[in-house]
Amino acid sequence: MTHRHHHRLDARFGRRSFLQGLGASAFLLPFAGAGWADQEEPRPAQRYVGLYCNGAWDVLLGPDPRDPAKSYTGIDLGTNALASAHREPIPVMMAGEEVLWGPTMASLVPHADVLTLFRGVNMNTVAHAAGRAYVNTFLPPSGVVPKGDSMGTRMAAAGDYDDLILPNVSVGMPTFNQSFPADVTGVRLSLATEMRDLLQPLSDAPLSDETLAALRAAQDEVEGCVHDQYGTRPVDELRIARDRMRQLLSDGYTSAFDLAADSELITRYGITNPNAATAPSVVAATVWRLLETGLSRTVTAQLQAGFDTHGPEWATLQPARQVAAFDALAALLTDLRQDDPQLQDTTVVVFSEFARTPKINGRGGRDHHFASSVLVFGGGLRRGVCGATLEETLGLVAIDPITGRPDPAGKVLLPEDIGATIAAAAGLPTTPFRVEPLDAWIA
Amino acid sequence: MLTTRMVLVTAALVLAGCYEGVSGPGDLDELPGRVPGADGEGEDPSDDDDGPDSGEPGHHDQGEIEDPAGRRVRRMTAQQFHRSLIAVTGQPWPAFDDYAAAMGKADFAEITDEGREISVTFDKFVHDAALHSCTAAIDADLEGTSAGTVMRWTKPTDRDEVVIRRNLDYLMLRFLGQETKPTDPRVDPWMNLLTHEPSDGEIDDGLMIERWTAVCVGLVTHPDFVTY
Repeated sequence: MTHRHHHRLDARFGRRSFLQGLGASAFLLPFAGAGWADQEEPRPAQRYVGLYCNGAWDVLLGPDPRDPAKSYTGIDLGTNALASAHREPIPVMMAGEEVLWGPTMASLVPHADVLTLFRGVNMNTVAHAAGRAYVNTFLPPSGVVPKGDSMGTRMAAAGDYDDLILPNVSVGMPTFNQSFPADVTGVRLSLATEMRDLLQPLSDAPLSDETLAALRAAQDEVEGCVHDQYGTRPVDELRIARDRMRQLLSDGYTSAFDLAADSELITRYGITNPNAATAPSVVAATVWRLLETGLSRTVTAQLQAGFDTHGPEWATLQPARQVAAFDALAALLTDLRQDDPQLQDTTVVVFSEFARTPKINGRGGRDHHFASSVLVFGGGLRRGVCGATLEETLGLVAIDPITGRPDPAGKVLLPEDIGATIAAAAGLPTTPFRVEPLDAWIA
Repeated sequence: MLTTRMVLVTAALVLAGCYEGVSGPGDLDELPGRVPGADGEGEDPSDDDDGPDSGEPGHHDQGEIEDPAGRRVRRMTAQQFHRSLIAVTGQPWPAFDDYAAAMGKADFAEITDEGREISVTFDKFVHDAALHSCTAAIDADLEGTSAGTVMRWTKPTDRDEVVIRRNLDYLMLRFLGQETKPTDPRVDPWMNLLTHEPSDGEIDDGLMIERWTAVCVGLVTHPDFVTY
């Protein structure tokens, strides 16, 4: 499928871009010299993907491992309980430096060159609901209530989205919009496979095409009785949604989300059951299709669930689920890098609500721990590792925001530091985050 | 001050017009409650009168002020929509539980807020629900197993516009709580849908059933139905 390429051209010359360009031209024309024709092409529209690992991942098995050949005063690696494939961390070169990755991240090694790995991020909570709210917006929540806008909404609103049917999609996660126009509010799907249901035509109903057309005509004439003194008129919001729905149903996207019919996609993403709505492979393939078809440029999704392993299942389910999530992520990154090899115009953020304790509890599992990690692929950030945890305890540690290395005079990373940095790299205001972005980490 | 009062009174009149004559069937009582005062009921515009202009900065006639916005009209929650659908059509949507989360229903485990965004997802599944329930309601009307929920004052054989209009007025009241007068423009789109000449020039009974189904769907997907 090659829609994306066409779509990017469309986005580049969309109505809003054209008008903005016209304004800029009028201003710049008097200053235009010989170099005018040499102006760089406008920057393509930005893509944003947010992927959530539900239940609190184990960073020791993933982004923040330790060497099993050593012993640590405050960390129990539980190596003996793990299958041999999940015991040994992987040495990876990041920004010219060898870094250890947990064994579950093996499939991501080919994408190390576009990764900024934030370690030792203080999630400030060990309550799932509060952590979920935090990573949704990258702003500190009020208890379990999210504050502000979802990161996806913020990123979707930044660009020209007039040409998109679904400017902002959220799969398996709530989405919030307090500050931006209603037409960029996230379209929420509870499951990835609901895209197929969303695309089921209304003509399957017992109404002829002629009657459906008459119904649409009547719906278009309706005004509703709410005066605009009472805020945005529902009829106007409904019109936007309805126009998009009609376009969605008429533009023949159904086959794109019939994953079972695409054997190449099935193989690429390692999909064993295309109807397994919560399988990371199905989620990632759906995210890709949303972007590839040009339906959306901003997708936030729950990539994997079931990480909350407090009991002996930690030893088997935790690594297996992390492997499945990272394998699906690797397939998605491979697809995204087809037309954006360095992810200059793409940001992929991967997070969990917090991490798991460094000590194994009496039941053979791990409990909740503050010090988590956030993975950012692309997004205009400087590549490498920013942040750290205490070597012996996986505890939080202050870092120098320029070098990203431990520094007692520095600061402990918070999610809003990362949110502000991603926003700044995308050219967006950082005021809502109430922290300075990590400027040194913007490429 | 006078301008502010006029805006408030006008807004109250507009809303009062919207809900004028609400006297629908008893089951409409189960529809989501309106916020007291949202339609001006029980409010005295003079309550806003804070006396003569003191001449102090910030008083009403000291330059332009922004009129206060009214209470924001909200979309029904998923559960409210489904209950309302059942109230007006007498028919549940069997797939509701499958799509309730996509329509914004909180599960209070992972998601603790009720989604109220008017989105493509919501509109699509509202259409799916309306198509199912309206079809089932008209089937029940025609089979005589209901007391005439949608086609209460008309039959598929009726072509008389007076008869059609009588049933349409009833549906406007039942679905939207709007009592319509003979010249009410809000009825026009639906009357046109029911009476326009089809491409093959003939309206048969099957087509009339389709058209009444379409009107029912149109009223369930109406902005005044899905919001309050």
